[in-house]
Amino acid sequence: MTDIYVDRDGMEIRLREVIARIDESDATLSDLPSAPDAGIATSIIALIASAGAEAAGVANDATRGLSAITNDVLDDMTVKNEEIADHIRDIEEELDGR
Amino acid sequence: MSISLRIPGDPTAVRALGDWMSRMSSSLVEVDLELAYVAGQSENYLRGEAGSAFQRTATAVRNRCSPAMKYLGDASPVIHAYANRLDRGREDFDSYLTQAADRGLTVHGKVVMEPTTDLSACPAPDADPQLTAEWDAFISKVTTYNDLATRVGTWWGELETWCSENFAPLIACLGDLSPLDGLLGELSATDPNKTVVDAALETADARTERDLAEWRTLAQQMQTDADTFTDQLRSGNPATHAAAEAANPRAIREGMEELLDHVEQVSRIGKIIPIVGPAIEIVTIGAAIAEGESGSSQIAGALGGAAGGAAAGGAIAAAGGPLGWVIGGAVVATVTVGSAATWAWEAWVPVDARESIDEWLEDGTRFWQPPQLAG
Repeated sequence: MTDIYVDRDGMEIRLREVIARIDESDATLSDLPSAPDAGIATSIIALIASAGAEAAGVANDATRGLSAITNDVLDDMTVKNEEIADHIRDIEEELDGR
Repeated sequence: MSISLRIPGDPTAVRALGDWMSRMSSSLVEVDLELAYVAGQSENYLRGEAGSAFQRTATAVRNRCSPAMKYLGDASPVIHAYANRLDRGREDFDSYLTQAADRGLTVHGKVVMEPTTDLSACPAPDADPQLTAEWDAFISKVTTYNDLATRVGTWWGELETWCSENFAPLIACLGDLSPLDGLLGELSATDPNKTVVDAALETADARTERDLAEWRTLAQQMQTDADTFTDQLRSGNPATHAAAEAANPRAIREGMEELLDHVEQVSRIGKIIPIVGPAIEIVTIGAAIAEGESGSSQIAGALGGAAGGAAAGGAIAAAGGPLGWVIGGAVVATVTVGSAATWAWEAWVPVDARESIDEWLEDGTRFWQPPQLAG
Protein backbone atom coordinates (compact mmCIF):
# COMPACT_ATOMS: atom_id res chain seq x y z
CA MET A 1 0.00 0.00 0.00
CA THR A 2 1.85 3.07 -1.25
CA ASP A 3 -1.09 5.43 -1.63
CA ILE A 4 -0.92 6.63 1.96
CA TYR A 5 -3.17 9.67 1.75
CA VAL A 6 -4.11 12.19 -0.91
CA ASP A 7 -6.48 15.07 -0.16
CA ARG A 8 -6.93 16.27 -3.70
CA ASP A 9 -9.67 18.79 -2.92
CA GLY A 10 -7.75 20.32 -0.03
CA MET A 11 -4.61 20.76 -2.12
CA GLU A 12 -6.56 22.21 -5.05
CA ILE A 13 -8.24 24.73 -2.78
CA ARG A 14 -4.83 25.84 -1.50
CA LEU A 15 -3.44 26.07 -5.03
CA ARG A 16 -6.42 28.21 -6.07
CA GLU A 17 -5.33 30.70 -3.41
CA VAL A 18 -1.87 30.79 -5.01
CA ILE A 19 -3.48 31.38 -8.42
CA ALA A 20 -5.57 34.21 -6.94
CA ARG A 21 -2.39 35.93 -5.71
CA ILE A 22 -0.77 35.46 -9.14
CA ASP A 23 -3.84 36.97 -10.84
CA GLU A 24 -3.51 40.01 -8.57
CA SER A 25 0.21 40.21 -9.27
CA ASP A 26 -0.37 39.96 -13.03
CA ALA A 27 -2.94 42.75 -12.74
CA THR A 28 -0.31 44.92 -11.03
CA LEU A 29 2.16 44.00 -13.75
CA SER A 30 -0.24 45.14 -16.44
CA ASP A 31 -0.50 48.50 -14.62
CA LEU A 32 3.10 49.32 -15.54
CA PRO A 33 2.96 53.07 -16.25
CA SER A 34 4.13 54.59 -19.51
CA ALA A 35 7.87 55.11 -19.76
CA PRO A 36 8.46 58.36 -17.82
CA ASP A 37 10.57 61.28 -19.00
CA ALA A 38 13.29 61.03 -16.34
CA GLY A 39 15.67 63.55 -17.92
CA ILE A 40 19.26 62.39 -18.08
CA ALA A 41 18.41 59.06 -16.41
CA THR A 42 15.49 58.16 -18.67
CA SER A 43 17.04 55.21 -20.51
CA ILE A 44 18.70 53.80 -17.39
CA ILE A 45 15.48 53.97 -15.35
CA ALA A 46 13.57 52.44 -18.27
CA LEU A 47 16.04 49.57 -18.43
CA ILE A 48 15.88 48.95 -14.67
CA ALA A 49 12.07 49.09 -14.57
CA SER A 50 11.54 46.98 -17.67
CA ALA A 51 14.02 44.35 -16.46
CA GLY A 52 12.12 44.25 -13.16
CA ALA A 53 8.83 43.93 -15.04
CA GLU A 54 10.20 41.13 -17.18
CA ALA A 55 11.50 39.29 -14.11
CA ALA A 56 8.15 39.74 -12.36
CA GLY A 57 6.38 38.27 -15.40
CA VAL A 58 8.66 35.24 -15.44
CA ALA A 59 8.17 34.73 -11.69
CA ASN A 60 4.38 34.91 -12.01
CA ASP A 61 4.34 32.59 -15.03
CA ALA A 62 6.61 30.05 -13.35
CA THR A 63 4.50 29.96 -10.20
CA ARG A 64 1.33 29.68 -12.27
CA GLY A 65 2.97 26.90 -14.28
CA LEU A 66 3.91 24.94 -11.16
CA SER A 67 0.37 25.32 -9.79
CA ALA A 68 -1.17 24.22 -13.10
CA ILE A 69 1.03 21.12 -13.38
CA THR A 70 0.29 20.12 -9.79
CA ASN A 71 -3.44 20.64 -10.33
CA ASP A 72 -3.28 18.60 -13.51
CA VAL A 73 -1.66 15.69 -11.72
CA LEU A 74 -4.20 15.88 -8.90
CA ASP A 75 -7.07 16.02 -11.40
CA ASP A 76 -6.19 12.56 -12.63
CA MET A 77 -8.07 10.41 -10.12
CA THR A 78 -6.31 7.24 -11.31
CA VAL A 79 -2.89 8.53 -10.23
CA LYS A 80 -1.73 7.35 -6.83
CA ASN A 81 0.40 9.14 -4.29
CA GLU A 82 3.60 7.46 -5.48
CA GLU A 83 2.92 8.47 -9.07
CA ILE A 84 2.16 12.03 -8.00
CA ALA A 85 5.51 12.02 -6.22
CA ASP A 86 7.27 10.72 -9.36
CA HIS A 87 5.67 13.40 -11.47
CA ILE A 88 6.66 16.24 -9.13
CA ARG A 89 10.16 14.77 -8.74
CA ASP A 90 10.58 14.99 -12.52
CA ILE A 91 10.03 18.76 -12.31
CA GLU A 92 12.36 18.97 -9.33
CA GLU A 93 15.10 17.25 -11.29
CA GLU A 94 14.67 19.67 -14.18
CA LEU A 95 15.00 22.61 -11.78
CA ASP A 96 18.05 21.08 -10.12
CA GLY A 97 19.67 20.29 -13.44
CA ARG A 98 20.62 23.82 -14.38
CA MET B 1 25.30 83.86 -23.93
CA SER B 2 22.67 82.70 -21.46
CA ILE B 3 21.98 80.08 -18.78
CA SER B 4 19.02 77.74 -19.02
CA LEU B 5 17.46 76.77 -15.72
CA ARG B 6 15.25 74.14 -17.24
CA ILE B 7 15.55 70.66 -15.77
CA PRO B 8 14.25 68.03 -18.20
CA GLY B 9 12.14 65.26 -16.76
CA ASP B 10 8.76 64.64 -15.18
CA PRO B 11 9.25 63.93 -11.44
CA THR B 12 5.58 63.00 -10.98
CA ALA B 13 5.81 60.35 -13.71
CA VAL B 14 9.14 59.09 -12.33
CA ARG B 15 7.60 58.82 -8.87
CA ALA B 16 4.61 56.94 -10.32
CA LEU B 17 7.03 54.39 -11.77
CA GLY B 18 8.75 54.08 -8.38
CA ASP B 19 5.36 53.53 -6.76
CA TRP B 20 4.58 50.82 -9.30
CA MET B 21 7.89 49.08 -8.62
CA SER B 22 7.09 49.07 -4.92
CA ARG B 23 3.58 47.66 -5.54
CA MET B 24 4.96 45.08 -7.96
CA SER B 25 7.54 43.95 -5.41
CA SER B 26 4.84 43.68 -2.73
CA SER B 27 2.54 41.63 -4.96
CA LEU B 28 5.41 39.24 -5.75
CA VAL B 29 5.97 38.90 -2.01
CA GLU B 30 2.27 37.99 -1.63
CA VAL B 31 2.60 35.28 -4.28
CA ASP B 32 5.77 33.99 -2.67
CA LEU B 33 4.19 33.86 0.80
CA GLU B 34 1.12 32.02 -0.49
CA LEU B 35 3.31 29.45 -2.24
CA ALA B 36 5.39 29.12 0.92
CA TYR B 37 2.23 28.43 2.96
CA VAL B 38 1.06 25.80 0.50
CA ALA B 39 4.51 24.20 0.40
CA GLY B 40 4.66 24.17 4.18
CA GLN B 41 1.22 22.59 4.44
CA SER B 42 1.49 20.29 1.40
CA GLU B 43 2.25 17.25 3.52
CA ASN B 44 -1.20 17.66 5.10
CA TYR B 45 -2.70 17.02 1.67
CA LEU B 46 -0.09 14.91 -0.08
CA ARG B 47 1.45 12.75 2.58
CA GLY B 48 4.61 10.78 2.01
CA GLU B 49 6.93 11.41 -0.90
CA ALA B 50 4.41 13.40 -2.92
CA GLY B 51 4.13 16.03 -0.18
CA SER B 52 7.86 16.41 0.36
CA ALA B 53 8.52 16.43 -3.41
CA PHE B 54 6.06 19.28 -3.84
CA GLN B 55 7.61 21.11 -0.91
CA ARG B 56 11.11 20.85 -2.42
CA THR B 57 9.91 21.82 -5.90
CA ALA B 58 7.92 24.80 -4.64
CA THR B 59 10.94 25.92 -2.61
CA ALA B 60 13.15 25.66 -5.71
CA VAL B 61 10.69 27.79 -7.69
CA ARG B 62 10.49 30.33 -4.85
CA ASN B 63 14.28 30.57 -4.66
CA ARG B 64 14.57 31.09 -8.40
CA CYS B 65 11.80 33.76 -8.40
CA SER B 66 12.90 35.71 -5.32
CA PRO B 67 15.46 37.98 -7.11
CA ALA B 68 12.57 39.66 -8.96
CA MET B 69 10.89 40.98 -5.80
CA LYS B 70 14.22 42.00 -4.28
CA TYR B 71 15.34 43.85 -7.40
CA LEU B 72 12.11 45.82 -7.68
CA GLY B 73 12.10 46.49 -3.93
CA ASP B 74 15.69 47.78 -4.01
CA ALA B 75 15.12 49.93 -7.10
CA SER B 76 11.93 51.65 -5.92
CA PRO B 77 13.47 53.97 -3.25
CA VAL B 78 16.26 54.95 -5.65
CA ILE B 79 13.70 55.96 -8.27
CA HIS B 80 11.82 57.98 -5.62
CA ALA B 81 15.04 59.64 -4.48
CA TYR B 82 15.81 60.63 -8.07
CA ALA B 83 12.33 62.14 -8.50
CA ASN B 84 12.83 64.07 -5.23
CA ARG B 85 16.17 65.33 -6.52
CA LEU B 86 14.54 66.67 -9.68
CA ASP B 87 11.86 68.36 -7.57
CA ARG B 88 14.38 69.99 -5.23
CA GLY B 89 16.49 71.10 -8.19
CA ARG B 90 13.49 72.74 -9.80
CA GLU B 91 12.59 74.43 -6.53
CA ASP B 92 16.12 75.87 -6.27
CA PHE B 93 16.25 76.86 -9.93
CA ASP B 94 12.88 78.60 -9.77
CA SER B 95 14.17 80.53 -6.76
CA TYR B 96 17.27 81.49 -8.75
CA LEU B 97 15.07 82.82 -11.55
CA THR B 98 13.25 85.09 -9.12
CA GLN B 99 16.48 86.23 -7.48
CA ALA B 100 18.12 86.87 -10.86
CA ALA B 101 15.18 89.03 -11.98
CA ASP B 102 15.16 90.87 -8.64
CA ARG B 103 18.84 91.69 -9.13
CA GLY B 104 18.28 93.20 -12.53
CA LEU B 105 19.22 90.31 -14.79
CA THR B 106 17.02 89.75 -17.85
CA VAL B 107 14.99 86.55 -17.55
CA HIS B 108 13.03 84.98 -20.41
CA GLY B 109 11.00 82.04 -19.15
CA LYS B 110 13.60 79.69 -17.66
CA VAL B 111 16.57 81.40 -19.32
CA VAL B 112 18.75 84.05 -17.69
CA MET B 113 20.52 86.34 -20.14
CA GLU B 114 24.11 87.46 -19.69
CA PRO B 115 24.24 91.05 -18.33
CA THR B 116 25.34 93.81 -20.69
CA THR B 117 26.26 97.48 -20.32
CA ASP B 118 26.53 100.49 -22.59
CA LEU B 119 29.71 101.51 -20.79
CA SER B 120 32.79 100.59 -22.75
CA ALA B 121 35.11 100.52 -19.71
CA CYS B 122 35.28 101.00 -15.97
CA PRO B 123 34.76 104.71 -15.20
CA ALA B 124 37.74 106.65 -13.79
CA PRO B 125 37.74 107.43 -10.04
CA ASP B 126 36.69 111.03 -10.73
CA ALA B 127 33.96 110.09 -13.23
CA ASP B 128 30.31 111.09 -12.98
CA PRO B 129 28.85 109.27 -9.89
CA GLN B 130 25.91 108.12 -12.01
CA LEU B 131 28.32 106.34 -14.37
CA THR B 132 30.14 104.80 -11.42
CA ALA B 133 26.84 103.58 -9.94
CA GLU B 134 25.85 102.17 -13.33
CA TRP B 135 29.17 100.32 -13.54
CA ASP B 136 28.85 98.98 -9.99
CA ALA B 137 25.34 97.70 -10.78
CA PHE B 138 26.68 96.00 -13.88
CA ILE B 139 29.50 94.32 -11.92
CA SER B 140 26.98 93.16 -9.33
CA LYS B 141 24.90 91.56 -12.11
CA VAL B 142 28.02 89.89 -13.50
CA THR B 143 28.78 88.48 -10.06
CA THR B 144 25.24 87.14 -9.75
CA TYR B 145 25.33 85.71 -13.27
CA ASN B 146 28.68 83.97 -12.72
CA ASP B 147 27.52 82.56 -9.39
CA LEU B 148 24.38 81.30 -11.08
CA ALA B 149 26.43 79.66 -13.86
CA THR B 150 28.59 77.91 -11.27
CA ARG B 151 25.60 76.76 -9.19
CA VAL B 152 23.78 75.41 -12.24
CA GLY B 153 26.89 73.60 -13.46
CA THR B 154 27.55 72.18 -9.99
CA TRP B 155 23.98 70.95 -9.69
CA TRP B 156 24.19 69.13 -13.01
CA GLY B 157 27.59 67.66 -12.20
CA GLU B 158 26.35 66.45 -8.83
CA LEU B 159 23.23 64.97 -10.41
CA GLU B 160 25.36 63.01 -12.87
CA THR B 161 27.59 61.79 -10.05
CA TRP B 162 24.53 60.81 -8.01
CA CYS B 163 23.19 58.85 -10.97
CA SER B 164 26.46 56.96 -11.29
CA GLU B 165 26.52 56.19 -7.55
CA ASN B 166 22.91 55.05 -7.35
CA PHE B 167 21.91 53.69 -10.74
CA ALA B 168 25.13 51.91 -11.65
CA PRO B 169 24.74 49.44 -8.73
CA LEU B 170 21.19 48.66 -9.89
CA ILE B 171 22.50 48.01 -13.39
CA ALA B 172 25.18 45.77 -11.89
CA CYS B 173 22.48 43.87 -9.97
CA LEU B 174 20.68 42.96 -13.19
CA GLY B 175 22.94 39.91 -13.07
CA ASP B 176 21.07 38.81 -9.93
CA LEU B 177 18.02 38.10 -12.12
CA SER B 178 19.85 35.21 -13.83
CA PRO B 179 18.16 32.47 -11.74
CA LEU B 180 14.89 33.32 -13.51
CA ASP B 181 16.45 32.42 -16.83
CA GLY B 182 14.96 29.25 -18.29
CA LEU B 183 12.71 28.61 -15.29
CA LEU B 184 9.51 28.29 -17.28
CA GLY B 185 11.22 26.05 -19.84
CA GLU B 186 12.43 23.72 -17.11
CA LEU B 187 8.92 23.45 -15.66
CA SER B 188 7.64 22.64 -19.16
CA ALA B 189 10.42 20.22 -20.05
CA THR B 190 8.08 17.33 -20.83
CA ASP B 191 5.39 17.52 -23.52
CA PRO B 192 2.46 16.93 -21.12
CA ASN B 193 3.72 19.64 -18.75
CA LYS B 194 4.31 22.02 -21.63
CA THR B 195 0.72 21.58 -22.77
CA VAL B 196 -0.57 22.26 -19.26
CA VAL B 197 1.65 25.30 -18.69
CA ASP B 198 0.89 26.79 -22.11
CA ALA B 199 -2.83 26.42 -21.47
CA ALA B 200 -2.54 27.98 -18.00
CA LEU B 201 -0.68 31.00 -19.35
CA GLU B 202 -2.96 31.38 -22.33
CA THR B 203 -6.05 31.48 -20.17
CA ALA B 204 -4.56 33.89 -17.63
CA ASP B 205 -6.47 36.94 -18.77
CA ALA B 206 -4.58 39.45 -16.68
CA ARG B 207 -1.16 38.39 -17.98
CA THR B 208 0.61 41.36 -19.46
CA GLU B 209 1.38 41.35 -23.15
CA ARG B 210 3.22 44.64 -23.05
CA ASP B 211 6.15 44.97 -25.40
CA LEU B 212 8.93 46.09 -23.08
CA ALA B 213 11.39 46.67 -25.94
CA GLU B 214 9.01 49.26 -27.39
CA TRP B 215 8.67 50.78 -23.91
CA ARG B 216 12.47 51.13 -23.71
CA THR B 217 12.70 52.53 -27.24
CA LEU B 218 10.32 55.34 -26.32
CA ALA B 219 12.44 56.06 -23.24
CA GLN B 220 15.55 56.12 -25.43
CA GLN B 221 14.09 58.93 -27.53
CA MET B 222 13.48 61.02 -24.40
CA GLN B 223 17.03 60.24 -23.25
CA THR B 224 18.40 61.61 -26.52
CA ASP B 225 16.47 64.86 -25.99
CA ALA B 226 17.85 65.19 -22.44
CA ASP B 227 21.42 64.50 -23.64
CA THR B 228 21.10 67.20 -26.29
CA PHE B 229 19.92 69.65 -23.63
CA THR B 230 22.81 68.95 -21.22
CA ASP B 231 25.38 69.12 -24.04
CA GLN B 232 24.05 72.54 -25.03
CA LEU B 233 24.00 73.65 -21.40
CA ARG B 234 27.70 72.83 -21.03
CA SER B 235 28.77 74.30 -24.34
CA GLY B 236 26.77 77.49 -23.71
CA ASN B 237 28.69 78.73 -20.69
CA PRO B 238 32.34 78.05 -19.70
CA ALA B 239 31.61 78.63 -15.99
CA THR B 240 28.73 76.14 -16.07
CA HIS B 241 30.92 73.66 -17.90
CA ALA B 242 33.80 74.08 -15.43
CA ALA B 243 31.52 73.72 -12.39
CA ALA B 244 29.89 70.60 -13.82
CA GLU B 245 33.31 69.09 -14.53
CA ALA B 246 34.46 69.91 -11.00
CA ALA B 247 31.41 68.28 -9.46
CA ASN B 248 31.61 65.21 -11.66
CA PRO B 249 35.09 63.72 -12.07
CA ARG B 250 35.92 62.92 -15.68
CA ALA B 251 36.45 59.20 -14.99
CA ILE B 252 32.94 58.83 -13.58
CA ARG B 253 31.48 60.85 -16.39
CA GLU B 254 33.19 58.80 -19.07
CA GLY B 255 32.10 55.61 -17.32
CA MET B 256 28.48 56.76 -17.30
CA GLU B 257 28.68 57.80 -20.97
CA GLU B 258 29.95 54.33 -21.80
CA LEU B 259 27.17 52.80 -19.72
CA LEU B 260 24.54 54.92 -21.49
CA ASP B 261 25.91 53.85 -24.89
CA HIS B 262 25.52 50.21 -23.92
CA VAL B 263 22.09 50.79 -22.38
CA GLU B 264 21.02 52.18 -25.76
CA GLN B 265 22.09 48.91 -27.42
CA VAL B 266 20.32 46.78 -24.83
CA SER B 267 17.16 48.90 -25.12
CA ARG B 268 16.55 47.46 -28.57
CA ILE B 269 16.67 43.87 -27.32
CA GLY B 270 13.30 42.18 -26.84
CA LYS B 271 14.24 40.56 -23.53
CA ILE B 272 16.84 41.32 -20.86
CA ILE B 273 16.62 37.81 -19.36
CA PRO B 274 18.70 35.75 -20.05
CA ILE B 275 21.52 38.14 -19.18
CA VAL B 276 23.73 37.52 -22.21
CA GLY B 277 25.68 39.53 -24.81
CA PRO B 278 25.21 43.32 -24.46
CA ALA B 279 23.32 42.80 -21.18
CA ILE B 280 26.44 41.20 -19.67
CA GLU B 281 28.48 44.20 -20.79
CA ILE B 282 26.22 46.70 -19.03
CA VAL B 283 26.28 44.60 -15.86
CA THR B 284 30.09 44.62 -16.00
CA ILE B 285 30.31 48.37 -16.64
CA GLY B 286 27.71 49.07 -13.93
CA ALA B 287 29.71 47.04 -11.42
CA ALA B 288 32.93 48.86 -12.38
CA ILE B 289 31.53 52.33 -11.68
CA ALA B 290 29.34 51.39 -8.70
CA GLU B 291 31.23 53.17 -5.93
CA GLY B 292 31.08 56.35 -3.76
CA GLU B 293 29.38 57.42 -0.51
CA SER B 294 26.76 60.02 0.28
CA GLY B 295 27.43 63.02 2.50
CA SER B 296 25.12 61.77 5.23
CA SER B 297 26.91 58.42 5.46
CA GLN B 298 30.25 60.18 5.75
CA ILE B 299 28.94 62.29 8.61
CA ALA B 300 27.48 59.25 10.34
CA GLY B 301 30.88 57.55 9.94
CA ALA B 302 32.87 60.55 11.14
CA LEU B 303 30.71 60.89 14.22
CA GLY B 304 30.79 57.15 14.82
CA GLY B 305 30.62 55.81 18.35
CA ALA B 306 27.62 55.98 20.65
CA ALA B 307 28.23 59.61 21.60
CA GLY B 308 28.78 60.64 18.02
CA GLY B 309 25.66 58.85 16.92
CA ALA B 310 23.64 60.49 19.65
CA ALA B 311 25.07 63.85 18.65
CA ALA B 312 24.20 63.35 15.00
CA GLY B 313 20.74 61.99 15.71
CA GLY B 314 19.99 64.63 18.29
CA ALA B 315 21.27 67.43 16.07
CA ILE B 316 19.08 66.34 13.20
CA ALA B 317 16.02 65.83 15.33
CA ALA B 318 16.39 68.82 17.66
CA ALA B 319 16.88 71.19 14.77
CA GLY B 320 13.71 69.94 13.15
CA GLY B 321 15.31 67.98 10.34
CA PRO B 322 13.21 66.44 7.58
CA LEU B 323 12.22 63.29 9.39
CA GLY B 324 12.73 64.63 12.89
CA TRP B 325 12.99 62.26 15.76
CA VAL B 326 12.21 59.16 13.74
CA ILE B 327 15.46 59.31 11.82
CA GLY B 328 17.24 60.94 14.73
CA GLY B 329 16.25 57.96 16.83
CA ALA B 330 17.45 55.57 14.13
CA VAL B 331 20.87 57.22 14.15
CA VAL B 332 21.11 57.12 17.94
CA ALA B 333 19.94 53.53 18.05
CA THR B 334 22.18 52.16 15.35
CA VAL B 335 25.43 54.12 15.47
CA THR B 336 28.12 52.34 17.44
CA VAL B 337 31.46 52.65 15.66
CA GLY B 338 32.56 54.45 12.50
CA SER B 339 32.21 51.84 9.78
CA ALA B 340 29.26 50.19 11.50
CA ALA B 341 27.60 53.60 11.68
CA THR B 342 27.97 54.10 7.96
CA TRP B 343 26.69 50.62 7.27
CA ALA B 344 23.68 51.04 9.55
CA TRP B 345 22.89 54.44 8.12
CA GLU B 346 22.88 53.16 4.56
CA ALA B 347 21.32 49.79 5.33
CA TRP B 348 18.50 50.96 7.58
CA VAL B 349 17.56 54.35 6.23
CA PRO B 350 16.14 54.21 2.67
CA VAL B 351 18.01 56.24 0.07
CA ASP B 352 15.07 58.60 -0.50
CA ALA B 353 14.97 59.48 3.24
CA ARG B 354 18.79 59.82 3.35
CA GLU B 355 18.56 62.15 0.38
CA SER B 356 16.21 64.51 2.22
CA ILE B 357 18.56 64.59 5.18
CA ASP B 358 21.65 65.08 2.99
CA GLU B 359 20.00 68.07 1.41
CA TRP B 360 19.11 69.52 4.79
CA LEU B 361 22.62 68.99 6.17
CA GLU B 362 24.16 70.57 3.10
CA ASP B 363 21.96 73.61 3.23
CA GLY B 364 20.53 74.23 6.68
CA THR B 365 18.72 77.29 5.41
CA ARG B 366 16.42 75.24 3.19
CA PHE B 367 13.42 75.37 5.46
CA TRP B 368 13.29 79.11 5.89
CA GLN B 369 14.91 80.47 2.75
CA PRO B 370 16.25 79.10 -0.54
CA PRO B 371 19.99 79.21 -1.43
CA GLN B 372 20.98 82.80 -2.09
CA LEU B 373 22.82 83.95 -5.21
CA ALA B 374 25.87 86.19 -4.83
CA GLY B 375 25.92 89.78 -6.02
